[in-house]
Amino acid sequence: MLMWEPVLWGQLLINGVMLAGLYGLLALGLNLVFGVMRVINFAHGELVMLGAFVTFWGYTAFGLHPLLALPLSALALFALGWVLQRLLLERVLGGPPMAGLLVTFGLSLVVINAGLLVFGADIRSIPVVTGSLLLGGFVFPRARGLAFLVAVALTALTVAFLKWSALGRAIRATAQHPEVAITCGVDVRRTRLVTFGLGAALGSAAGSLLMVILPMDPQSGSFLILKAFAVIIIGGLGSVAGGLLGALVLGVAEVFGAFFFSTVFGEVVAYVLLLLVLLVRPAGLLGVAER
Amino acid sequence: MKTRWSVAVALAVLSALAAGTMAPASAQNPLVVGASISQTGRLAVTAVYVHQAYQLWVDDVNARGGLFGRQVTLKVYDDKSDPGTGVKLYEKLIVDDKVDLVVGPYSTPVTAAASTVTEKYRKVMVAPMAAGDALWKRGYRYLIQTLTPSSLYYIGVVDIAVERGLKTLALFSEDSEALRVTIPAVVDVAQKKGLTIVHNEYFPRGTTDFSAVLTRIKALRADVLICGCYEPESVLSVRQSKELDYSPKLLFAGHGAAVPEFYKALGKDAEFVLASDHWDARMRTPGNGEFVERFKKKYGREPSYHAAGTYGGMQVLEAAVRKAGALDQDRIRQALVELDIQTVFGRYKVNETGAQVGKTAVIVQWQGGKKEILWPADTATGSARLPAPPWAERR
Repeated sequence: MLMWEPVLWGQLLINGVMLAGLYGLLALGLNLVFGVMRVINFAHGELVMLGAFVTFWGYTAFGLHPLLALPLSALALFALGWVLQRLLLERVLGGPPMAGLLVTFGLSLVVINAGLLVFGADIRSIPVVTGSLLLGGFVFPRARGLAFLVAVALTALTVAFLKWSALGRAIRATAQHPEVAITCGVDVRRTRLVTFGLGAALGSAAGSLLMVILPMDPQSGSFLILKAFAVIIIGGLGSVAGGLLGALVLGVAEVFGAFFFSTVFGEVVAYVLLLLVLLVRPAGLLGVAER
Repeated sequence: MKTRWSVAVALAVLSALAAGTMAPASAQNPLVVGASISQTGRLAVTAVYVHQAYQLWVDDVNARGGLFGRQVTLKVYDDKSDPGTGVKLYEKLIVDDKVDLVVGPYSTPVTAAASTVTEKYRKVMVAPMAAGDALWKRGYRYLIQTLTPSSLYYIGVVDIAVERGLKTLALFSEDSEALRVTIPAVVDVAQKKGLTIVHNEYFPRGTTDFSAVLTRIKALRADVLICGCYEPESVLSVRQSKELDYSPKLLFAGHGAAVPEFYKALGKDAEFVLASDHWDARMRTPGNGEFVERFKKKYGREPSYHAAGTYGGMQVLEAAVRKAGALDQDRIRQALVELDIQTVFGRYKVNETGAQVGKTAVIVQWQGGKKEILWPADTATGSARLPAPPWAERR
């Protein structure tokens, strides 16, 4: 009976973990920005898309490998994130929570349409890192595997950075209590600029890898980011490590759901999971409930 | 003296008037054909082809002496890719501008909305760019389809598979209105021709992972894989088939696989993949070669199927108007239902509801970076390179 072949189950587990890498990458920057500034960045998908297109441009214009383009796109997007925070989000800080949401939503619309105008609606993808490694009867897709490794590495780096570096501590202090942070000598405004820049850079990293995994067009970002919202709610809003855990849970559950029932059902599984977490553990798997 | 002058002027005016009534066609009121085109908004890039094809037809029909001795002119408004705006514009074309004929806009949604107006005013609308079969299930009388009907999109794949002795077929398709018509039609024909369907499912738009369904289909060892896909999923299905080391003997990746971006996104992995297309510049339909040449000369680029389909639609309308012998909308409608002709786009034949039933798609295969037509046989430019070699043996 096909359904109960252990080899297939193993393969499905691999597939799920690979998918999780993708979700984890998408969620990382979104989560960081929310954790520090309590801003739900609706434009995060567009930052991912821009990172992807910078990478695509690097490949077509200079033959730059996406892995080499990744840090460069991330740097460019860091600068863009900084500027966006400085010019737009700083202005609505301290206002009603809805304001930040509306600003980023508007930004998302502007970027998508500017993207359509500049790049057109055609799909693009970079045909490198294709195929898979065959190990003991299992296949490991190269591009998705790479994305998974990068997701794990970036998550670990982000956690370590927040925990041990001076700037990381300043970011956490700003997240926990901005006023106290100020009295302790933290330049809160600069910290916010850096954080949004980092969020954008992490989004860009996701975009660079997506360019070799999925065909992208200027509207792809807004589609992809929906799953990232599910991931960070399951993992715990603002918890970076939780984001990766949420991605793993979601990715594996989706693949098994899709295999045993249908692809549509895979999506259902994702959102049922989301509801379950909200009911049973509303702060998310690794999230801390706010007072 | 003064009176003599006024008599002279009066005579001159009279003779000018008399000349007017006897003048050749060009001096008469032009015959106006009206349409809305998405000149801005998300459909604008593609809709340019539609506009250009309309204009090319207008040039051509005028070169043939116009219709009923009248020169034809085109009146176009911008619907901003918005169905609601399309509704208002067709109302304006019919009521204010009193155009003689209306023709369809670009895209199914805008056509669906605009046709409510044309139907209300009993105006025939040849809609060259509307695919959804549902539009012809509303009991409308004056809407005429010339595009390939959804049910005939993929039929050719079955013929090719059977000819090559392939036995099992797996399908997974986007859950879209059109494909919900296309896929059952394929399954039906495949079963009649002796293929076994081992898997058939639909996925929601925007799916980013086919690993589960492909793992299953690989385990079922399907000879033929049909992905009912548009661009992004066409690329993704091929890429993930390779990632999971699943090598179907025939991989068909839908409409999305026929565009140049598909090959660009996949590179050599696009080789051996089959796709379906509405039209091809090399099709041996009457006048096709000349149409392509004239289009290139006038606009400096290759016509897309949108251009060919629109031009073909206008050939149909022209034939019907000539057959009807008048601009009476009911007589034109009758002629449109009776016609069975070949245009540059292919065969035109509609049923009593106005839905196209004669036009099939062409099935192509990527060979050496180019698309070769495999089906229908009478227009083929190459033979199928099948079975496709396993991924491991490529390059």
